[in-house]
Amino acid sequence: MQLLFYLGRRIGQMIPILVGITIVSFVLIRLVPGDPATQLLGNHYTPQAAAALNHGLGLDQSLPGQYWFFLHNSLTGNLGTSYYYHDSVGHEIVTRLPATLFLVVFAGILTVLITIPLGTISALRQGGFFDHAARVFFLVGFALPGFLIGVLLILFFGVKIPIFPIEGYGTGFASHIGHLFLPAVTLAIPFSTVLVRSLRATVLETLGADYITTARLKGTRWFTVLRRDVLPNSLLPLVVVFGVNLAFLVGGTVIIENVFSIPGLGSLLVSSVSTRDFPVVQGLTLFFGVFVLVVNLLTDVVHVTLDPRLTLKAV
Amino acid sequence: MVATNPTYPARGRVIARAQGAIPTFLRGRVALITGCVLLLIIVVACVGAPLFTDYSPTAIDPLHPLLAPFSPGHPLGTDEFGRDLLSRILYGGRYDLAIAFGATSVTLVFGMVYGLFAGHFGRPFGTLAMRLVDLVFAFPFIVLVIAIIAMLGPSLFNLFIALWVASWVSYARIANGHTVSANGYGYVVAARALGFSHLRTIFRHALPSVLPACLIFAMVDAVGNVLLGASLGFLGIGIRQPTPEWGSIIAEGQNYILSQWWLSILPGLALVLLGVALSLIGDGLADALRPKDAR
Amino acid sequence: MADTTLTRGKTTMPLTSSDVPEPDHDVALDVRGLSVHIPTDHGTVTAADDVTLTVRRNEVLGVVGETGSGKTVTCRAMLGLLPTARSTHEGSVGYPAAGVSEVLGVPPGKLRSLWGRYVAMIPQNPMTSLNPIRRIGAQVAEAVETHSSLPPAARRARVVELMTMVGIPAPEKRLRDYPHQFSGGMLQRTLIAIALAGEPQLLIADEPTTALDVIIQDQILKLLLSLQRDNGLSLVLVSHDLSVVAQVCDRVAVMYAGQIVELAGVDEVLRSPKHPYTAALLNSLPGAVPRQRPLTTIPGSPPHLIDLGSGCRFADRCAFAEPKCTRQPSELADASASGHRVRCVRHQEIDLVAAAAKGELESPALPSSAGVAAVEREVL
Repeated sequence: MQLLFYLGRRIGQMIPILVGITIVSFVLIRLVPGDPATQLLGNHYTPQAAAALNHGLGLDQSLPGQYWFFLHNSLTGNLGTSYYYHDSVGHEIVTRLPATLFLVVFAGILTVLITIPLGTISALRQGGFFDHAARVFFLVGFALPGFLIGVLLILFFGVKIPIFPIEGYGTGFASHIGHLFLPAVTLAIPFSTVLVRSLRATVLETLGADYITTARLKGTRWFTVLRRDVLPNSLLPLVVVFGVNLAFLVGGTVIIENVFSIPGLGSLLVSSVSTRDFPVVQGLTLFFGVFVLVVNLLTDVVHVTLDPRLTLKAV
Repeated sequence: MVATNPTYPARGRVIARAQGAIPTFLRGRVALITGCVLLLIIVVACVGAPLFTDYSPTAIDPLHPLLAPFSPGHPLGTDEFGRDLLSRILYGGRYDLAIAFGATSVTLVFGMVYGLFAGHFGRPFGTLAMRLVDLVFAFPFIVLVIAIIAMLGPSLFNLFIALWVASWVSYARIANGHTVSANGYGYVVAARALGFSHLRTIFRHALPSVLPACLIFAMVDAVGNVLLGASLGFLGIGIRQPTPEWGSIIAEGQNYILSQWWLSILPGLALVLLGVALSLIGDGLADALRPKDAR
Repeated sequence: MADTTLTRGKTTMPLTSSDVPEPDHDVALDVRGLSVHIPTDHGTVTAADDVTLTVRRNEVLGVVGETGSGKTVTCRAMLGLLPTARSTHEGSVGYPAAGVSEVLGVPPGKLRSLWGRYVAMIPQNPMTSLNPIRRIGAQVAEAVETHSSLPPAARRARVVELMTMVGIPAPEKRLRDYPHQFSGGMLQRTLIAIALAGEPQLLIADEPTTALDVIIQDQILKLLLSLQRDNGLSLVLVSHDLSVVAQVCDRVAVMYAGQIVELAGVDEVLRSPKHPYTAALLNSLPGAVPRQRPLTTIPGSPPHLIDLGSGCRFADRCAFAEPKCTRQPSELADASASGHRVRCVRHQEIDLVAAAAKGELESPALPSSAGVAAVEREVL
């Protein structure tokens, strides 16, 4: 019940940002140089066709009128029509969303699986061989462009030792896992560099906390102290870091989907840039903005639920 | 996973900084110097490209395509059109360096000043100004950059515009955070109470506490900008062919990854080297500047 | 003069000299020649330097000193803990009563059976000494279950019993609370309950009341003492407040710049201090000084604990300093047959009680602006 109130209040706070997202998406398409009708119709340009098109896009109205037209359409799920696919943008997004969502969740899980052991061990063995090795690995990992990691993974695990499919999305859950394993690894490596650094720092900070001394001086096993005190207190701030940086992961899919030819939102965005399919770009921008907002909300909810110090009333 | 020696939290900075094998000031300096030397080598090699290669990066030689490295006259070999790979990497690096410095310096200055002012004036104007920052943060960085390029058309200058629009907000947030917390410190309160002008309070009293954090972040940000620029080149929506840019060279080489792997790997290595150099500088700066931090 | 001041039975016992092996099972804690060195970027900090002391069964030892005098490092070492992985130590810490001759340099796996069971600690800052995201009951229960395998119901009963013992009202209702729902005093009571869960014989309290309100300080102190008396515990009570120590301790060790400068029965220290630093500390206490005499301040500030010579470390703040004070090494020496020990080369030449009466404790050489209170705020 309290959680519902909290959710309601947070969604209320999000409304100005939501409005902002629609304004940005609306303004975006106005950046296209020249008259949209000329751009769209190309060789088929006639004044009549242009007028009909402008009316269909709401472009014959005043600017606020045009925004209202766009907002109204967006709220009713009408994101316009793709110039290229001649299909509604909303439908195009819904068709391609599952692949992207699957990839993001998969990469997120892999990131957690990489981050927790690496971050914890680096901190526990601070200054040791493992810590230095991890530091070098992540220094390089951070500077490695995702697409290069993807190309290398394709080369080694798709071509030289062909154990993974290298393109597409597959059908069925098991096939999705197989197809998206390499892309998810590609996304998880740069993403985990950020998180491992952060976790290493929080574990070090937690290890220095007074309550760890208290717990150890009870005579408790060190492993138990790690499990009950060190890890929970270190992972809690990581939830926030994970949420803040998730936009980075979502953005990464745009490039990686193209490397592995995954039919997701990212490859749609890039191909729409090439085909100058402006309504799709606009719709995707709007969608990604809302998506990130929703993910941030979920992260907040998880954080508030896990941390007893944050009561739902106070936040 | 058992600690070798029973220890307890050290109190105070002196003890805390004692951990680790190398003294902190040296550790920071090693990273900083290594990073600067690497960056200097890359800058000299790319800016002074004509000194190191006689070929034009776009000169096609249909008679000598796909030469292996160490071929006579072509130390790194040639690509599918017979263009010299060394020349393409050296000239191409100019674009990546331009992105690293051109995009980052503008956003650093603008974002920092924006955040300083927003933090100094606080409610209601500053708070309202920071809503705009929140808004830009709501979009994934790459999506916003691609969307802006899509609308404006692909070109180097439009890439700059897109990076400027999308990445100044990080600096604004960092600067704003530091300024708001500095507002509570005695020296800023005193400066205000003495009736110093807004500009003087901001630039003489708030800026010094904000600049180190922004500079450290600028190095991380420069790596991000370079990687994004290269990614867009790789996807073919950044700088257009036949302009050599590391990302686009990698993309072309991808077709030959099984036979002529160096066509992709060598420019990739250059990219990683630039990224590592900038990260090292950032690490070194962070270590060097942290003790002076207000915290 | 010293022998006339001895009134308490326990403290009249002569201390054993540090170089004689101690087979005595009446000794709960035996610290010999303990030095702890912490390497830092600025040089090696010697946070404890040649500390020698013993604590008998059922005895309360007070350790007094300013912040940065090495009290905390010393009392952590009493538990076998060193500040960082790279710090080094000399000397030994043993628990003769438990048949343990050395705890320093011993892997924590072996100390586990002693922690909580034989020796326990009460921390300085109760607010940060409990895991903020675990329930109070679970944290106390962990201390109970570590040393005994009780069925859940019995364990819970023991937790409630412990929490009742330390004066937490209606403990059954507070078991599911989190630390942030407790006040500082309640948290310290909880930490005392955790410390007592394994029925230890030796309790080390590192400034247990510093972080608390004055009224709560008094309650916690009284609680600690009644628990000490009822359970026959040995207690090391660290404090920067001489008046606290004066109230409750049998013997007092005064620390300055990592060294023990004076060690004696509490009455002896209060009535006839042998070290100028102790005398100056006493004369800065409002309650210890006759009304008509002004309070003394100690000029200057304590030295940083890096590269200190073997000469007297208090010399440059001392009203009685002579060239020989810094030239010759100052050792902890017996000042009386009753075990009053002092680290001052001039302790036989000067009469501090008379000097205090004449108001001559303040060094004329230095401005007396920096008082003890200001010095206490100095961080290591």
